[in-house]
Amino acid sequence: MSKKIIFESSEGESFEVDEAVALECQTIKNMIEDDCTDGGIPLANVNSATLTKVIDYCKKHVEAAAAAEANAGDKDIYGANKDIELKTWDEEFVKVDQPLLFDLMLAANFLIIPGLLDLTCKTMMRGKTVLQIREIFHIKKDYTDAEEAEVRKENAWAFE
Amino acid sequence: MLQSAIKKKTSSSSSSSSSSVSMMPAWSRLPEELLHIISENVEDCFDIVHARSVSNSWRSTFSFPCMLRRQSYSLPSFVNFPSESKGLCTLEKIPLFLFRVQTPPPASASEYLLGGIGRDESEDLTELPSPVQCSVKVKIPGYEPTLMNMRDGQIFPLGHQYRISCDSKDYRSVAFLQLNQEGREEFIVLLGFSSFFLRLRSSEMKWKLVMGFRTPLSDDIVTFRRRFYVTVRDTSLTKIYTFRIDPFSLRMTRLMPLNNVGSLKYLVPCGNDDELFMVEKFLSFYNNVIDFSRFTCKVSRLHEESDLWVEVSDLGDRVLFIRQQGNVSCSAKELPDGCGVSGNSILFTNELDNGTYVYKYGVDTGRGEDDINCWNFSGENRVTILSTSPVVSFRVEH
Repeated sequence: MSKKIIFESSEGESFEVDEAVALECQTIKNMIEDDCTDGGIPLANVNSATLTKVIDYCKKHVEAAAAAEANAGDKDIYGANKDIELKTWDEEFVKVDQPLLFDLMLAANFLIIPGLLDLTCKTMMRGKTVLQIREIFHIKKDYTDAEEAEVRKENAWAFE
Repeated sequence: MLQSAIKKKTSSSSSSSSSSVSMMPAWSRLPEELLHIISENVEDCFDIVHARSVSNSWRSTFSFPCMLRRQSYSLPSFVNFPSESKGLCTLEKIPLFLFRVQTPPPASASEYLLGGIGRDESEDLTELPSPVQCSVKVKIPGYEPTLMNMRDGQIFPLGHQYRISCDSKDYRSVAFLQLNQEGREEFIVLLGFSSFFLRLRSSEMKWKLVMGFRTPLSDDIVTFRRRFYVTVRDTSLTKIYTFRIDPFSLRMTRLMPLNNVGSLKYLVPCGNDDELFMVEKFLSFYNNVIDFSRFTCKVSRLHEESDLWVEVSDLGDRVLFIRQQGNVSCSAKELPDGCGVSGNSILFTNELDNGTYVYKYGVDTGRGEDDINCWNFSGENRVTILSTSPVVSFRVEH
């Protein structure tokens, strides 16, 4: 029976996970090493919906790592397939709405989950228009007319 | 970033169970450190251009994508070779893309553009969409120039192509290698000019004749794993050979086998120096008469160690595009399902054609005497080649 760690979301909901899964988060790993996880870990800045996804991600990656190790002997083709499978899983995992993606990115940054941080950051700008980005991040355009013209030029391409 | 987060952690864990962490910025306020991480992770070069267009601070965070940077090199002119020319010519590295034009469902065909992309230098930018957004202008001979929003389609990077500014009709093709020789960065250019190959090393900046041919006629020059590969016709113009040319010693190695008289040969590098393929195109015979309406193909992969072409019947998810301006390939995995272009196929876009097809292996042509163990047109997706140069434009029915 593996040791369990209890997370508490911002809504006060408890999530019990295997220690191995919690160890995917560098921040939690440090806390476990410092032995200050008794009575659960409150995550006041991570809501339940986000935490559920974060745990899913960590679980999947712990399982994938374990599977890869088990198959280390006959690696070559099999290992490569596993990599592709995990990549595909990751791609599906980040097909979520913008607020949740943003929350996941912040959670990954706070909990220090490098893989999830890269994944969410990579997805953040995908296929978005300039207006959409400004809207999402509440950014006001601050260009002078000359700068705006420069920006426009950079956006104008041609097949030649 | 790691350290700052650890600091946050220690400060929070000291008062751990009673007061919890409260450093969370409101949703939508992006911490600067995260913007940096995002800027390092965005893959699509036009996503980067959009991010750079958001505001001044974003513009300084996201650097202009190298993929879209056009490098140019000033080289001595070669038009009077073997006499030296005083002038210069310019070699340009041009980003190459495949663009699938969005067609509203239930469209029965997809339109594609394949070619080099550059800044739209036309002064009149008033017709650009407002607000700012990446657009691509397309001018195809015989068609109205169109301006398309880049998000109204899908765009796939296909690497780069090189082009040399030269009006001489004797200029045929060029290839470029960036090499690191004994710790020194150097580039080497191989040029097909008149009936010669000329080589230039950046350390010498002089064109040198590649010896070894009497009257070669070259169609293709490609680079693969730090060496050049060329196709060369013999003096009677009936046979085409393939050679490897060492960029430094200029030593030439003939690749085997040599048979297959009467075929056309195309060299197609794949992926990031992963494979080099050769497509051979044969005339098709029907009842012992040449059938000009169709042809068949053979595909071989280079086995580098033994200088051998090894015939293959499977290209995986690759699509090979045979083009006037250099052959390219892409992975069909990146293309959406049902778009008419699928993996393991060859598309000839080098000639205008109102009714060609995608070539696949082992197609049953319904004609008893046809060999099934070759590449034949599949008849599934009719392809119309609307333009071959400078931009390839084609439509695939599906």
